[in-house]
Amino acid sequence: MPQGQSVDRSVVPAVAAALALGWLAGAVWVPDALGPLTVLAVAAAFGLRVAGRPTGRAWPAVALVAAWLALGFGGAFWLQAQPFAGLAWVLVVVFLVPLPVVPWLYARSFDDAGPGDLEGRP
Amino acid sequence: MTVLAIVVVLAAGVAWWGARRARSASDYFAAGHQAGAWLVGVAGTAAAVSAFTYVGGPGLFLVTGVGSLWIVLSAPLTGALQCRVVGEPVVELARRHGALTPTELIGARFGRAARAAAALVVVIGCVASGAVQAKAAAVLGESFLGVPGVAAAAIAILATTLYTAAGGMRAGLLADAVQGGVMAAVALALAGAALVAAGGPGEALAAIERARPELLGSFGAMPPPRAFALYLLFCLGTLAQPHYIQKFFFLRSRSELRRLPAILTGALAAMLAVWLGVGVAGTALAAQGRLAVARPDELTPAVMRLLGPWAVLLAGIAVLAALMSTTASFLNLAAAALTRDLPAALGRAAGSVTAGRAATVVIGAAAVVLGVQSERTVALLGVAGWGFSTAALLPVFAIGLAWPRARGGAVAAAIAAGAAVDLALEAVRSQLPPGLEPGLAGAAVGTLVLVGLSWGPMTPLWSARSARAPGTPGGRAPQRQDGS
Repeated sequence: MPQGQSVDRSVVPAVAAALALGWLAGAVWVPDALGPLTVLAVAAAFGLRVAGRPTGRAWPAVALVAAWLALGFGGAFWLQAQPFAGLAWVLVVVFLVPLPVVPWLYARSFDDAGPGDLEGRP
Repeated sequence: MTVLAIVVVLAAGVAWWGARRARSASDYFAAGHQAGAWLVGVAGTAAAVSAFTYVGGPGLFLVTGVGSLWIVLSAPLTGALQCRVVGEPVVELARRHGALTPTELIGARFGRAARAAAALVVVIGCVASGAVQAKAAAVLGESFLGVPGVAAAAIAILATTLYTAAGGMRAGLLADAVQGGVMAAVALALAGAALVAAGGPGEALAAIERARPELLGSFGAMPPPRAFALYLLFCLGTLAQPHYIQKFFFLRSRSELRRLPAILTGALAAMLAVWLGVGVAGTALAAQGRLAVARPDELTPAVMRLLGPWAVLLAGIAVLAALMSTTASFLNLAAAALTRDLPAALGRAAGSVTAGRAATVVIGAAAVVLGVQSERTVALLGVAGWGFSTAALLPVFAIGLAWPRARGGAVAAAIAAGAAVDLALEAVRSQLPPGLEPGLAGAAVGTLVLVGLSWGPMTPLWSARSARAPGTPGGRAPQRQDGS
């Protein structure tokens, strides 16, 4: 396996383990951290299959999803005490706006050739 | 009873059609690998959306308001996330190894121990999730159709068992697609009608704000940590549900994945309209004093009765379609796990399609017995069932498939650890901090086990013994044991 690709792929378990530990700690002791941790976990999930891939088309999509989630969650937290504004923010920003955008981003970044070997064969 | 009788007749027809076409294991468990994006997208969404959405969801809105929506707010993401993280590797690996089911794929990639662990989880998870559908069928029977709950559950689940046992997923996929179309159309109609009955969205929200303002805002009556935990559970959990992953085995080619997220997302959004529309309208009607419900699961039936007989009939049909489409997948997956995966893990030949049919019947009966006896609400049962699969299988499908160094023994240990943590925490759910979802906790522990044991020193116990492609060290040719 090319050296560069093995370095990229090793990011996967490192990030996963860090997020798992962080989430457990947050859920038990620091519940206010669960919002940012959720954003990181979802962004990391989207980035899972991008690690080690030769194409860079997927990375802007991952970054966009992460930014939108951060905005959505931050706004929801800020408006939680506003009955109608909070509901509207959640429905529009967190749900309706990304509804057509995310599938479009996926289609745009879809790689017909695939990412290459998945089982570590040389 | 007329609706149930029609369902039985239609099920028999689908069973006859499917039985004539499901001749091989590939037909029975993977619908012959011939489906395109539209069929898989609509049928896959139907299988994914269970009676939880029609009964449990609105009922949960009555209790927690906007907080309940955090379970479904990740819907814009999940189609693309599934295709990217799981769909692409599953399609490629399934072709390479000739795998027909998620558990078979795990075995091909990670070895027999991992396959056995995954198969046990699938059987337990599918029976439990089938019990959720049986519970929903009981609610459906009593509240919508005016028949005893046990009878409704037995008829609905056993009708599903009939066509699933006879035709496998060749029958199941067709039935699911028809059911998906019905579910989406009815969901939109009922949501709109319910909101009109409540005076329109504005008046309904105003009524809720006057009577129960704590239900509105960004999180309703739910603590934000719990809302975020549910968002994450139902977002990442889509990567670990066997009946979600199953649809990728039906695709005829990788290129179908490009447009699949758009179809999945659109179909899902249409079906979820009933959760928001009936939830808001029903809560408003209760606040206005026009509805009285003793249990959350009674909200949807009460709203439908207020709308009229046409709504009761349509809702009954939609709920029936939802639970049957979901149950079909669970039955097929659990049958595969019992007749193919567990024998293979023990070094024996896979069972025949006939054995698969017999196992389907047994599992269906078990789901009915468990479901009608449960005292939990449909929503709570649904969350628990979803969490169990997430805890056990998320590390495998999310991390394992993306990391070539993941070892077979480590994967088996991660599955066991995640499942054990989930079950232990589920038993004490009421005592847990708001953000500590058992399913996510199990997945986190499973991830740490997978990473730790794979990164640790190489020992025979943890070394991968997967069927690597010929020409690689330790590799052997993948073997199909069913002759298809």
